[in-house]
Amino acid sequence: MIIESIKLTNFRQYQDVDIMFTKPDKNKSFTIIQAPNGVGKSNFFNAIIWCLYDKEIYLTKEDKRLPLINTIALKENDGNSEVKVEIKMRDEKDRPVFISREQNFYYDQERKIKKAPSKLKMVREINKNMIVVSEPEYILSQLMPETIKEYFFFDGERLDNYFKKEGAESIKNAVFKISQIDLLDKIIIHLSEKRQSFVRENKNLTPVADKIRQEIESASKALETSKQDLDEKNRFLVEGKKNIKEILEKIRKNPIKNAKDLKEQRINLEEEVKEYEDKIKELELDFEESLVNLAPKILIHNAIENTKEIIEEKEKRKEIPPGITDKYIRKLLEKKECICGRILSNKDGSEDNLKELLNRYKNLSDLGSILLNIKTDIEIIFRENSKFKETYLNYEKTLRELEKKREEKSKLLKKTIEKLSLSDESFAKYEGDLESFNTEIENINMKIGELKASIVNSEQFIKSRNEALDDELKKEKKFNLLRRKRDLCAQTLEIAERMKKEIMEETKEEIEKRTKEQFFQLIWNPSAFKDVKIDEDYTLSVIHASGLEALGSLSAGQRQVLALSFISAINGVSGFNLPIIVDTPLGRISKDTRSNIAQKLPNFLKNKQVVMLVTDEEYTTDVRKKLGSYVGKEYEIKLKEFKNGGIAKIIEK
Amino acid sequence: MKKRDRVFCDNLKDYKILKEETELFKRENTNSSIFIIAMALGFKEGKIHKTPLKKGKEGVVRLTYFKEEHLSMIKAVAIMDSGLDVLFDEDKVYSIAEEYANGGIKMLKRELIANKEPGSYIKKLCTELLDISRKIA
Repeated sequence: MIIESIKLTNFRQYQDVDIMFTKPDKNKSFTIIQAPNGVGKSNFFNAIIWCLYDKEIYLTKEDKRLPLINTIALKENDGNSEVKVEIKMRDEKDRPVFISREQNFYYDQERKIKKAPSKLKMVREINKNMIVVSEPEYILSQLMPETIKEYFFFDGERLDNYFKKEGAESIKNAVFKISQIDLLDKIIIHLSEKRQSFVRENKNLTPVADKIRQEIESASKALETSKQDLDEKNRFLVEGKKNIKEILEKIRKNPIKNAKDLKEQRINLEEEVKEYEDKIKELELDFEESLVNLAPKILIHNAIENTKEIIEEKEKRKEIPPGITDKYIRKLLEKKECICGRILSNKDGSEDNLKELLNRYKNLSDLGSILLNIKTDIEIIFRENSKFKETYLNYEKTLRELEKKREEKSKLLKKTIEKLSLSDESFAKYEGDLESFNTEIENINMKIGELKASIVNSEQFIKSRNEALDDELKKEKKFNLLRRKRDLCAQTLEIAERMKKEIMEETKEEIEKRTKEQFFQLIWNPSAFKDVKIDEDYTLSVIHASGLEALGSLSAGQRQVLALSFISAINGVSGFNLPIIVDTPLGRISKDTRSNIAQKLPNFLKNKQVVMLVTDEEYTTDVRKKLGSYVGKEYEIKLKEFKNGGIAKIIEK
Repeated sequence: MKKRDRVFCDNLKDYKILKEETELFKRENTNSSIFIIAMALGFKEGKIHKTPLKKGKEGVVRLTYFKEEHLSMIKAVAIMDSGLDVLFDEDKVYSIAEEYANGGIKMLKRELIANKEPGSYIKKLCTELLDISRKIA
């Protein structure tokens, strides 16, 4: 990168300055800006730093009190104006890069100066088009990292700081940045973090695929066994059904098919037998009932016959019924008249005779009445008694017939029962077999149901475990991948750290080597020194010819030479091809030494664009003469003081 | 003297047992029927089976409960036992019947209750009746 020009607008004392810088070639690479102390060299230097990094690094106490903006310009613009620094550069491929920063300043109501945030702008040529860079700070940090700014833009009067302890750490950091070890550091940090994250991630994964595989294997075996059992049970089921079919066929073909008929027959016969028994019983009861009536009549047949004969005799003798009633005789007695019509008289005894007759007829009439009353019954009983045999024989006959029929039916019933019993036996056997097969089939069906449920469960389990296994395998894959990544990280990390160490050592050795070379090249009395060393902490030491440490006893000029050598060395190994802008590079060096340095500087800073901000004391005639052929442009800063401030102009000589 | 209105027996329980425990009187089970058959049995076996009633006799059938033919049978037995004139003494007529029935009831109990073989007495009775019946013919 080289700077083509810088334009300052209202930056402190520079109200409007625009200068071109020497474009380095084989012969010329130096731009000299000369000015006495207090005119504005450092602020010009600060303007460049401010434009690039939004800060001023070398401010005097007075400058710190003043605002960045040129106060005259602020007033002229009614308390609202802008500071702007524009740097036109060219990159390694000679493409233009425009960098500018501007900041608005204004008075508030109390006329105090306020400022808005500064704005950085970068325009680059990309594919032959000028493009406004969207993130200028980032791009700038890549092109010109702020960390290393002090090794390209430095104040010669402050070079001594490099030898102070507190400076060593920033040097080391800068060297890291310059040697781009910070990139390795970033890589190392990133790799460490990544490795840690992989380790953490892997901890969460912890694959259990083997365990799941075992579960699946075990479940698959169980499933296989269940399926075999199921096949077997299905075979049993088919066999059982076949057996049942055979039994049913046997039942169908067997005589026991009549069992139902037989049973019905048995029921009918039982009913018939019962019917005959009832009839017999009824007959017996009827007979017994009649016997109760008949038996006494027959048993007293003698008395019946005797009474019958008496009645018959009485009837034969006309005593029954009586011819004259006692009533008729009583009426004749009352009339005292005889049956023949003559008057009864006690004298002839006719009345007494009639009275005796009345008494005799009264008795005869009573007995006759009784006999007449029982006559019918006696005759009926007598007749019935004579019919008993017939009655009994009829009864006997009917009874025998009924008993015979009953017996027939009973025999038939007995045979039927026997048949049925035989049938029942076969039937019972078949029924037993049938029940047994049905029970067996029921059990088999139950077992089949269980097995099917078990198979479904096992299949579901295996499916779910397979899914889990897939997940685990993915996990395992991820785990292995992460492990490989972790290992790769670790290996890369090791390499990066080794590289870092090697680069650090190489860089240090290179810086040490270059510092030493350039120190001995620049120093006017090289024989006085034996060596220049840089330790791990980037602390410089100069070894005197006597072998003793000589840094503490070096003159200001010698220290400036050492610092320049060191900066140059760092600059050289940095890999950043940036211009070197030095404020008062020779300020601390004595007159004789200046001449020596001035003579050796062009060669020392060969191929570098160098801008030197020098005082009159530094830029002596001798120095000018020695640098002359390498200076392309030479400027002088002129300051014009006003009541409200000053305005500096840079005029080309 | 109060006019007789019933016939008596020694033990009314005999009638009760016969009615409840025998097949013969399962259907025709009135006291009058049992009294008549008992009288007839007693009569058939002869006067030696005439048993005078004890002092504590019990009324067994009201006279009004007898059928006409029963009354005729009672009279026929009385005539056979004591002659025609017995009819002039109604009370004696029934007393004769009571004494025969008293003997006969014991025979019935013996035959029907003691002998448990069902129908055996009925057969025996029928045989006896048939014998009598043959003689009638």
